[in-house]
Amino acid sequence: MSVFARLAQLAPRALSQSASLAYARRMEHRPEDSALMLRYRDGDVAAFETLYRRHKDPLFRYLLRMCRQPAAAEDVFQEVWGKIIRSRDNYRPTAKFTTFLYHVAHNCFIDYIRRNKRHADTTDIEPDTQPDGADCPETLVEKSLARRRLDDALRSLPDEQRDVFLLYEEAGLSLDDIALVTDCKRETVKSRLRYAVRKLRSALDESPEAS
Amino acid sequence: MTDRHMKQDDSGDPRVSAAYREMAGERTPEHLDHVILNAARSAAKPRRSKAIAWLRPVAWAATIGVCLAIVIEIALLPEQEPAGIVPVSEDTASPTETKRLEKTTPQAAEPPGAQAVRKPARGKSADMDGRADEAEALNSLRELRQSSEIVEETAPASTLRSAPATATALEFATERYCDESQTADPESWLECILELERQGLYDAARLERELLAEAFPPPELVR
Repeated sequence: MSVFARLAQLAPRALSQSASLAYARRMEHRPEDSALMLRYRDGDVAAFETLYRRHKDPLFRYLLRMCRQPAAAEDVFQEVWGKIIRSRDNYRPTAKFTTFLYHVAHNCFIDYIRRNKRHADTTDIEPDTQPDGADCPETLVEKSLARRRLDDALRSLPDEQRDVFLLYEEAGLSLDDIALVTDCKRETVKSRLRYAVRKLRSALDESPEAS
Repeated sequence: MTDRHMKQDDSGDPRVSAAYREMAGERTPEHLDHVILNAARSAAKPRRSKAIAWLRPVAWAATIGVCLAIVIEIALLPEQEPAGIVPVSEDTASPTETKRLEKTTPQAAEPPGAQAVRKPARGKSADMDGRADEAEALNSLRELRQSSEIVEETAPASTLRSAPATATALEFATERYCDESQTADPESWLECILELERQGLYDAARLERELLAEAFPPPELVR
């Protein structure tokens, strides 16, 4: 067997090995949130930056939809991260970091509600209506209307149902974790989520003419 | 919606989830990123300066305490060598002596024994009562002197520095060694003084000399 033929035989195996190694390396480069928080506790600011960039957008959207006002959402967002930063010395990885983060966020939101009783009266959020370049004008209009209907339906949900839906969608928490965050029973969480999804689905199913 | 959600329960709806994902594209404002990351950085820094911040007031307090102690020590220094308390009754004391007595060590610096002795001496009681009191006082002060000598023998030098009250009591006690019969004439008084000096009670001897000089002015004094 010539050298070229042997190389041709070895090449796919080597390629697959290197690909799996690269994949494994990439997996190694994504440390656990708890480990990052512990590293930050020991003074590693870069670990906090990684943690922050990983969670900032879902958390911001969660607070934006809960507070309904961007300014209020920004305040609560800062408050949440401030509490996370201050609690780094006492942090113990007994639960998932996401659960811990959203528990803090949930409590901050409740505090915000208590401070601003009239928060439900006004709303400034505009749904993201950026058009996709590939769609035709009719599809774009339909999508835009669907988004608006969904947004309206989400805003019209009771706080508890919206909270559970957002924790499920944005934070990616399981029902058990949501129960931990909201201090409710798992069955209560499940029922709230079901109601919320049903209302949102019916809003999506509405024909444009009916709305 | 993730597979994890779908496997765990059927509460979600993929269509709703997808529609929500399309709708929710908001991102965190950049100014918030700066604020929070700066806060995180500054919170991670001052671990060492926290200890410094704690040490600084302690250092100040210690410095002030030491300064106060030095000032008090200096202020009290002249009071450690008083001229002595002469437990002479007001009837027999000369005017200059009475003035001197009034200017002597404050009450707080005196031992309780000395105060106990002085009180009857100040009262205008009968001669016999006065003598009995003086004898009693003399006994108590002798006891004090003996106890102070024991303390001098046993205690380290550093603790003796803070015993001015005992020294005053000693001086007070030695003045009584020359009784009235000895102080009647200058010669016997002088003998008494010399005896005191032989015993090593120089302070008492010095005081007796002063009293002798006051009682018998220099022309009469035979040195």
